[in-house]
Amino acid sequence: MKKILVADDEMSIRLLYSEELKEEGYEVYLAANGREALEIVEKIPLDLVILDIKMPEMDGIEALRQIKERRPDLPVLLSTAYGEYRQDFATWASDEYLVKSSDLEDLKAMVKRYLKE
Amino acid sequence: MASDRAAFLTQMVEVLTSTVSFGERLNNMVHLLARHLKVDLALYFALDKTKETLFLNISSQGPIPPHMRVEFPLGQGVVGETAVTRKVRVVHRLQPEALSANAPLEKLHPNFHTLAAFPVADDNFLYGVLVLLDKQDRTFGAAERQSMQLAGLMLAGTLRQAIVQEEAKKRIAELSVLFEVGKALSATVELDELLERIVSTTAKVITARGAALEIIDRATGETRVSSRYGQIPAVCPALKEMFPRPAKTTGPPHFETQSVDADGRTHYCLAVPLTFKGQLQGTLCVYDKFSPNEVYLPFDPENRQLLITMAGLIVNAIENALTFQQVEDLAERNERMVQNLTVLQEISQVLLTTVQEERLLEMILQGLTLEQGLGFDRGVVLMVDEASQTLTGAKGAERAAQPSQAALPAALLSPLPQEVPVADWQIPLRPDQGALALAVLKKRPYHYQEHLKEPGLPAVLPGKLAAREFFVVPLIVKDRATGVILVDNQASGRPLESEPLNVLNMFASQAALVLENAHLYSTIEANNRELLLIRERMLESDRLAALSSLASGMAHEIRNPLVSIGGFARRISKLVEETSPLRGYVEVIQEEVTRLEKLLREILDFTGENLSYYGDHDLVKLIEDTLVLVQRDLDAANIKVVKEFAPLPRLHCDHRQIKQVFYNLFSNACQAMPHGGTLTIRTYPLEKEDGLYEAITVTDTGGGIPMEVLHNIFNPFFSTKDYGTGLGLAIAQRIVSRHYGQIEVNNEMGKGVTFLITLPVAKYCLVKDAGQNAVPASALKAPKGGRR
Amino acid sequence: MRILMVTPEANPFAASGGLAEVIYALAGALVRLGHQVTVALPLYRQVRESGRPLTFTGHTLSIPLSWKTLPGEVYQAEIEPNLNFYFIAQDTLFNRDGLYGTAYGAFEDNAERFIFFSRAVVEMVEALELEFDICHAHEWQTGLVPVYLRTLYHDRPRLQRLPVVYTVHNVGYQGLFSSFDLPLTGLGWELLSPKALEFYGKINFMKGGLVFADLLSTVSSRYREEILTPDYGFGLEGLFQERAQELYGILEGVDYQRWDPSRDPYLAAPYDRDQLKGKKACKAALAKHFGLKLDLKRPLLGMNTRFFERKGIDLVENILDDLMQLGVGFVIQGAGEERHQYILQEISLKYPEQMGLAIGYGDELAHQIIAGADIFLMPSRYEPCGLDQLYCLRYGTIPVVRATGGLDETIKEHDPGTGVGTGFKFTGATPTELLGAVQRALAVYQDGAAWEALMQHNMALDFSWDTLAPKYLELYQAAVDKRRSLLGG
Repeated sequence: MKKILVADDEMSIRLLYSEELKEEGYEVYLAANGREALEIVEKIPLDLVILDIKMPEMDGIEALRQIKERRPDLPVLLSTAYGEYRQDFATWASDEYLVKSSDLEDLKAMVKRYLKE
Repeated sequence: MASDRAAFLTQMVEVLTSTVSFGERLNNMVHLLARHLKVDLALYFALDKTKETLFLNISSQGPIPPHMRVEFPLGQGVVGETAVTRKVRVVHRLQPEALSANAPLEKLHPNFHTLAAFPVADDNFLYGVLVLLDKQDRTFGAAERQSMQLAGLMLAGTLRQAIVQEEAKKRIAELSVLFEVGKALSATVELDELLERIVSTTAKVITARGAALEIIDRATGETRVSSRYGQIPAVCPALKEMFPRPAKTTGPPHFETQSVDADGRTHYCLAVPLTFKGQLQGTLCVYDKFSPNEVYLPFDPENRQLLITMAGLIVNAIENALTFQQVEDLAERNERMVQNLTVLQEISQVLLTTVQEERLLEMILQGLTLEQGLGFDRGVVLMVDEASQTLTGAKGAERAAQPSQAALPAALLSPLPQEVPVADWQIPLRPDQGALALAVLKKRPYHYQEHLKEPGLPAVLPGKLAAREFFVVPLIVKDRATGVILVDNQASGRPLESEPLNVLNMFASQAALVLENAHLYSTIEANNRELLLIRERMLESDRLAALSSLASGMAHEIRNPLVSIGGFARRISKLVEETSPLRGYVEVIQEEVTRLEKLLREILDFTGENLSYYGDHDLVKLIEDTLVLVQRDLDAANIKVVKEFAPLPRLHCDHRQIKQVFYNLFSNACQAMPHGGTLTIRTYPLEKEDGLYEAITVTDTGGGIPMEVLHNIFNPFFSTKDYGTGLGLAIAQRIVSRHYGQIEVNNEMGKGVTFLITLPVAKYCLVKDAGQNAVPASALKAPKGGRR
Repeated sequence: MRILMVTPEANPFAASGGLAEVIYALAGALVRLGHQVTVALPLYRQVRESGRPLTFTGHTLSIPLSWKTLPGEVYQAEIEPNLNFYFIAQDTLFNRDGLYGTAYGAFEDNAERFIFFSRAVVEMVEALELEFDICHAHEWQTGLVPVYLRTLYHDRPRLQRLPVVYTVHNVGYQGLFSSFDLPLTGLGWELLSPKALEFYGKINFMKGGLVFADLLSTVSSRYREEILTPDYGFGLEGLFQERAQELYGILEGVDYQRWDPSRDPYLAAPYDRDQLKGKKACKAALAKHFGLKLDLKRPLLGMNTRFFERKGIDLVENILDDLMQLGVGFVIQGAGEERHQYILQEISLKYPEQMGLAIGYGDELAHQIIAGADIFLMPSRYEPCGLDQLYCLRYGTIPVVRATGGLDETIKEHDPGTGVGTGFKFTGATPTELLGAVQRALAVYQDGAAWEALMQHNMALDFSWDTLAPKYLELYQAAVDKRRSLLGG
């Protein structure tokens, strides 16, 4: 089973994402900030990470940098309430940049594309 | 006998050619002759240096004790006569006057009966007389006379050789003295040191007790330099004595004198002139030649000659040194200049720290009066009042009683120790108003001195400026006198010199500049404040700015909960049966959330936070990229897209913002054509009066905007149901104007709307792309092949 | 200690008078005390002819003399362990018949010769990097060595710290030269002042040594006292008085290796104080050598001297006729001023059977005269130390001396009554007083037993160098201490 990490400081978002993704048949891990996310990346052979940007302790940007440092092969999707940073991260840092939406179809489609293999 | 003579001659030659000293050779010869001729005594009388006396030099009896020393004046006695006649003479005791004329010889040989004298001379010189004494009455045969003659010649030869050698040694010695003096002279060009060396070396080589050198300026009669060494007697012959009446004696000029001091000791003085090419003259003087027995000796002609030669040598060295001293003076003046410039530079650095006129005036006055600065007793700055055409006192200060110990920059910043009230100094700018007014009018400095009446002080200032002497320099900026600086040394009474005036001039031009700058700055500051007010007012009126920041802050907070609400609502709806009334409620939630999210996207993703991403971009590509974003909507509404793209130069723009413009326009078009239609997008270059523009038109077939709405479409708070939030167009307009472009709307009721956007092409973009022929050459204002 | 002796003459290479002997014996005694001695000499023709092997060191010094420069080659000879000789070779100056002059007098260029030598020695120490603890310079010829060390070469550390002792053997020879010779020295004219080298308008080499050396010495205590007075100071008495605290008087000694009748190879027969027969044989041989027809019972008078008035030769000339009348024999060897040679020649021609004259100086004959004579005359006007009288003592030859300097110090007037005393002395430098002293000696000679007792008494005395060398070492140590304190420890 493919392993996905969802990192978001909002409990409701974590819950929503994990429910949806579990339904799709993935094994979902959760983290409330960048630091926890990194700990899980260290321990679990993940297949994909979904990161929020604005998080306490360690934000998504830093977590993204560190994850890519450790596992450059691991796809990381940024999922954030801030649309305006798209240009900053879409091109070089993350694999995808999604603005959060209550409609998770786009997100799930994206995940599926990355986990096809 | 012949063998005797041969042996004698052999020995004489042996002695003559021996390597022993000349004195010993002569001694040996005299002895040999005495032995050979078998006389009791042979004596050699030498002619002394004065060539007036013959003194006993050698005796065949060995060294001559003091009481046996005998001498004959030239022409007296047989010895003296022989010296004159240069003929051999033989005298016998019994001959008349033989005894009386030669009595001194009795001392050496009592009862001599025969006295023979023959000259010791060569072709040229007579060196002395050889005398033979014997107790017998004797005659000398031819052979013996020949021997005597030969001996005389050999003695003469030896003496000549001795003299030549002595001369040679003397020359070498003198050369070495001069060499030593020369070495001393060339070892230094410092005048004091040089003179010291000259007098000490002179004293040493002449073994004098003291030496002195004096050089006077012929024009003024003042002593230019003098140096002394060793002991110079209290009663010292006047050095200048030589000059009023130059020595009349033949030979090189010199001055010789002797005097007796209180203790009865005789002192000697020898002076020679130092003759310079220029205005100078001087003397080199030596005193009291040393002798081991405390008695001073007179100087001999050799000393004189040496001193004269040295004087010749010294003159050049002194002239060089004097020149060097002048050069040094010049260097010193330069150094002072550099110091002054350093002071000026330090002052100017400090002056740059403020633009407040009041502070500057204080600093300027500190600079004028501080000891570390220009060091005047008092300084006043007066400024020109253009309106009233008067010179008005701005600020004045006096030097502190206690000099500041601080370094110049720090001292400049300290408060003025003692201000001079000058506010009531008012001088009309007219030529009859004295030096201060003239300094402004003629734009040149004045050095006022009381005894030079013109130009005098104006009537208004007596009592206020009681200075007998002062400098006044104008403050000139761009050929315009803005004021004056006035300084004096009235308090200390020191005279004002011309050098500080130069420095003051430089200082004044600096001061003028900073004061002018300060003045300009205060004007700019006032203008700036005004501008600021205007800008604040403008910002106030910009409601969008306010909204934009408010919306952005709030919207972000709203988005997360919206995602949760909407997301879970979707999950619920999947679980609720289609027939359940709950289903309807959930769908309402979903729809409302979707609507809110859309609103947020419009606000957030496009109003943006002024992050700017300016770069050179291909407009067509931006359009294509944006079309992709709305492709889903276009497809959903069945809208056809027509593209008419002409090649354009790259546009210097924030590509994200430009894409927002297109996105908004395209979205509007989609909304205007919910049931299908055609979206036409055209691009083309457009020449306007002020340069090249890129034009984009977006045309829909949505039937146009109702007239009552049209004038409101760029109002951010205007919205129609059909045209979304309306915010889109407002944003589009702001972005375009930020790019110095324009957005126009062409509404054809019943048909559709055309938006025309024109964006100016930066000149350098044209140049950059010209090589690629991206733009028709005609589109370029820059001449073809022009400057690159 | 490592000692450098700078001297114008030294046995066994070059000798003209007593100095050569003194240097050699002092050096030998110092070596026996365990010190290293190096002697520096000019390479005279005599040195080349000494037959001893010389080694070229490979060093050639360049010595400036006024406006020319002469090369000085340095040669070396080690004649025994710790006794080294260095020679400065410069043939135009030193390859001559005499050391200081000819029969006609002193060389006219003696100033140049010894300026060259003194400067070369100083340069040699520097160039060859020789290490010495003390430099000991002798006589006027080396008077400039202290001057150079303390002025021209003062800045060379090796030379600056080298202490120098200057010994005056005879104030009568000061090395006076024209002030025009100063450029030859390379010294500054400031040194031509009464405080330094100048002496009545001339240059005085000895004065240089006396002014610039660390410590001074002369060769007897008596002479040391004499030279403080104008009669013996020759104008330098003031300077001697000034430095009296630093002026030592140390007697010269006898080298009994060479001067002992029991083992003297030059003698016809050896003898000693217990066996005096040999002396008779020596007397006979000496008489025979000079072809005298002398009854060996008659006293034979002898002299080894130089023909100068300071040696009292004129006094002797004046009493010779009287002596001959007394029927004594007289043999004399020496060289010197020609007029004295002539006078002596004339007298000896008058008395061919009684008087023997040998012009020149031979070591062998000197031994033979001292051994063969009964009475030895030393009528010197002054005699700083004198060695012949000391040899005479050991050889049982009775000295007749003028009471001056070392003669006065070492010889005690013989009192025929008590038998005390070693010889006969006279005070006034007159022929009469000399004759009187000789006559007193002859009177004692008449009493064969008394004469023999006197001889035996004298022969037991010890004036060996081994007793004197330690005094020189003390002097050296004092100079070392002074130098060190001058240089600040």
